[in-house]
Amino acid sequence: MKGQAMASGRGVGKCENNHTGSFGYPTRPEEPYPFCSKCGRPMVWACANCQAALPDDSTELMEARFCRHCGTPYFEGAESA
Amino acid sequence: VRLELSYRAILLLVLVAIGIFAFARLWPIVVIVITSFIFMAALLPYVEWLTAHKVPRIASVLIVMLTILGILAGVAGLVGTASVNEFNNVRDNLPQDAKDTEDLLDKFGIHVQLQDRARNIDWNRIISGDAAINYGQRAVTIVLGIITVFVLTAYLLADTPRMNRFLYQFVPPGREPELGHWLQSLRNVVGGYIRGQVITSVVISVFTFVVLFSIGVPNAAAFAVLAGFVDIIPIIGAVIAVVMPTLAAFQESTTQAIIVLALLLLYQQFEDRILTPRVYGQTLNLPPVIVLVAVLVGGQLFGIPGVLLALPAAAVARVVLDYYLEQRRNISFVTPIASTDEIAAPDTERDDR
Repeated sequence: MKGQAMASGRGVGKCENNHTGSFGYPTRPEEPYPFCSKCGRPMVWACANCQAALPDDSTELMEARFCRHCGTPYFEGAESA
Repeated sequence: VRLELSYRAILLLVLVAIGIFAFARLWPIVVIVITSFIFMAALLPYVEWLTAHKVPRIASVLIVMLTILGILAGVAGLVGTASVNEFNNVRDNLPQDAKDTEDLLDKFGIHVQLQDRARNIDWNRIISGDAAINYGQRAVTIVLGIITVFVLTAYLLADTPRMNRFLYQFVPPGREPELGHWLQSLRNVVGGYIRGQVITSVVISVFTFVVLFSIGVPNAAAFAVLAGFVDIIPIIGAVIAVVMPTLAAFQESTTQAIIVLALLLLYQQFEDRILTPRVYGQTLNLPPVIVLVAVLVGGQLFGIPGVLLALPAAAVARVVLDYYLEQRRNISFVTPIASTDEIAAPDTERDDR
């Protein structure tokens, strides 16, 4: 279990192709799942470096590529973008 | 001038008209449903506390609702007995009280015949017959409304998890936290509203008790509790909170009644114009002037239910406005409107001059 989102038992995440998902909410999976159901890419639920949760505002979630707390990219290769 | 409307626009107008018509016709039911939702949100934390302590949900709802019923029955018992006693006193002493009032008014040069009118009141007609049926019908309507709110609140409390699932199924993946924030904001609104009501009820209860007790009016505690409870009901509540203790004080002396009437009326003005805007402004996070205006507008548009629901409605409007502004901020924060070059262009032009 990682980050604040994991600690609260619910959170949001996304894959490299910006497909968003969530866990712990009614009608959603109870645990974070490893792969995107739309494209099969790995899902990211928290910053790999500082474990901070992804932004829970949908607009910010769609646009976010770097962790706002430590600046670490969420996906490999995002540095060059 | 030629006005052309598409079939879609006409259909929309017809649907809006039907919606307004239905809303107006169903207004009493709308009030009952909204009131039940407010009570549901107010009582939900207690039900959830019990369910978190392994009490089954239905049992939790029953415990909470029976507790509320017990409190209401206690208050009704306390206030009901005092009210019946005072009514009997008023009825028995009215001719003498009318004579005292006549004498008092005479001193100020006002001549009225109150004693004869008091003697001629047909109490049997007032407390029985057509008048009783009329009042009885109104009372039955009010009691049925209260029972409906009570039962609906219990159903809503029992069905909260199912309602949550129902709501969340319409939300696209990744946007659930926003619905969570919305629901939390609505709970905060209801919580703030209830806190505001509790504060104003406690203040009026304490004030009424201090006034009645210090002047020596009987049943001071019962009237204080009554004032706190009827403070929830706009307009009529204020009348009850003032008239009942004044009548009780009238049984002691006319001077006491005048002092009680003056102080309680003064308090009502203080509550309406100063206390309510400030308290609800704090608990609902609204400017006091908006609280004052919202109550006036609600009362003018929808009468007593309008006054009752004006503050939660204003607070919800504030939540909607905050959400809209937050969205605008987020969009401008994450999506640059123009590239750096475009933003720099006007400065460059200015430098060239």
